[in-house]
Amino acid sequence: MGSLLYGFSSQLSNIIRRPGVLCCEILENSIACDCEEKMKFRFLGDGDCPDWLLAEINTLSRMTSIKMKILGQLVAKSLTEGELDEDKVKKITQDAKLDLSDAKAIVAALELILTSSSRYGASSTDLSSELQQLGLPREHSAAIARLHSDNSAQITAKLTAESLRINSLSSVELLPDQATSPFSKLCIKLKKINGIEDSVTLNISKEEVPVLLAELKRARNLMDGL
Amino acid sequence: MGDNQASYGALLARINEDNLNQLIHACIDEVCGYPGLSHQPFANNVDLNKDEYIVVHKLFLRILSNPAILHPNEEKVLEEYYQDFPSEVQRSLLKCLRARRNQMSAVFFKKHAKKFATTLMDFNWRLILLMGSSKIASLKEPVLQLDLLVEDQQDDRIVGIELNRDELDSLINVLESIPH
Repeated sequence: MGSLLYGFSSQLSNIIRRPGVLCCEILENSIACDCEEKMKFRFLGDGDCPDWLLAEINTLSRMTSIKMKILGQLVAKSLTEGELDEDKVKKITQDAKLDLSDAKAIVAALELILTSSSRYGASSTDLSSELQQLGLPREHSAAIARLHSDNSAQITAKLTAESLRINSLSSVELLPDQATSPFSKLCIKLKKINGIEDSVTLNISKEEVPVLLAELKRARNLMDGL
Repeated sequence: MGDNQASYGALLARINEDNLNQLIHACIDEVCGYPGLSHQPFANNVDLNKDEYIVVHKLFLRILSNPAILHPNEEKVLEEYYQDFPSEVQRSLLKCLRARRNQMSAVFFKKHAKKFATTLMDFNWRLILLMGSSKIASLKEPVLQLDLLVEDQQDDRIVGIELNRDELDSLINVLESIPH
């Protein structure tokens, strides 16, 4: 309950600073939250916003939108390329007078926003308006929406590649053999479910290769038809 | 072997040509890994009791499991392996072997290859459409589940591979590079 209150109060702090119709909307939504009716956000897969994210949105809105955008770019890069440039992150967050734990938390928040919106295929307009509903200022929301539209394709590709696969093929190689041999040797490398590579060296009868090939091509055509 | 074959001669003479061909083909089936023929269907047509049938069946299996009988020089094979059989039996054996030569040689090759490395015996595939995962809500990615039934000297097992479009393309490319 404590964290819920915290989320709620952080939302209120935004509301106080935000004028006009939107404020009423937020207040209404917040009251709806209080009545235990969950809000739904497209970028969170039609789920409610976690309280910690709500709190970090407050922290994010304390930064300038330009600094947040640069930070967002770093996070997007780390999501697609795998490595976060910590020095740059430290520099930006120190400039914005955030301590280390806040810095970590907003990186996590940006990561969640960017992955989750790609995961659930939210459009950048939806993302922008939903972030504003959560209390993030307009320029900040627009900047994140821009990051989303620039990086969503790569993040989606990365998430697709990370999806659970059982024994996916990592490489296949034809080993040299004697031309007169009725068998060809294939070396097949598989990536097991636990990430360990397993390799199988296989004798395959040259007479059966066309049969296997024809079946695989049939399957390939079926795949394209799906 | 000669003496034994002579004594089998009497048994074999009691089987007419059609039944003999059927029996030989059934034994070849068995050598190739298919289910063989039991005594039952023969019981009505052939004048052999069950024990006698088992003796004949074992004899054919022993002869037909020997890769040497596929030697291209039929005269030599005849001389070497079944010279003491009645001539009708010899004729039937040669006829059946001629018809099944390719199938049998493939089986013998595989049996031999198994001694040295894991060998592909059969395969099966099915297409799976992944609708979503914990990482991404709407995936809609078709994946080919390819099961390779392989055998080596110790055991047989299934090597299951999951291939998406790109991986399948690379496998097809590699297989296409194999000269026929």
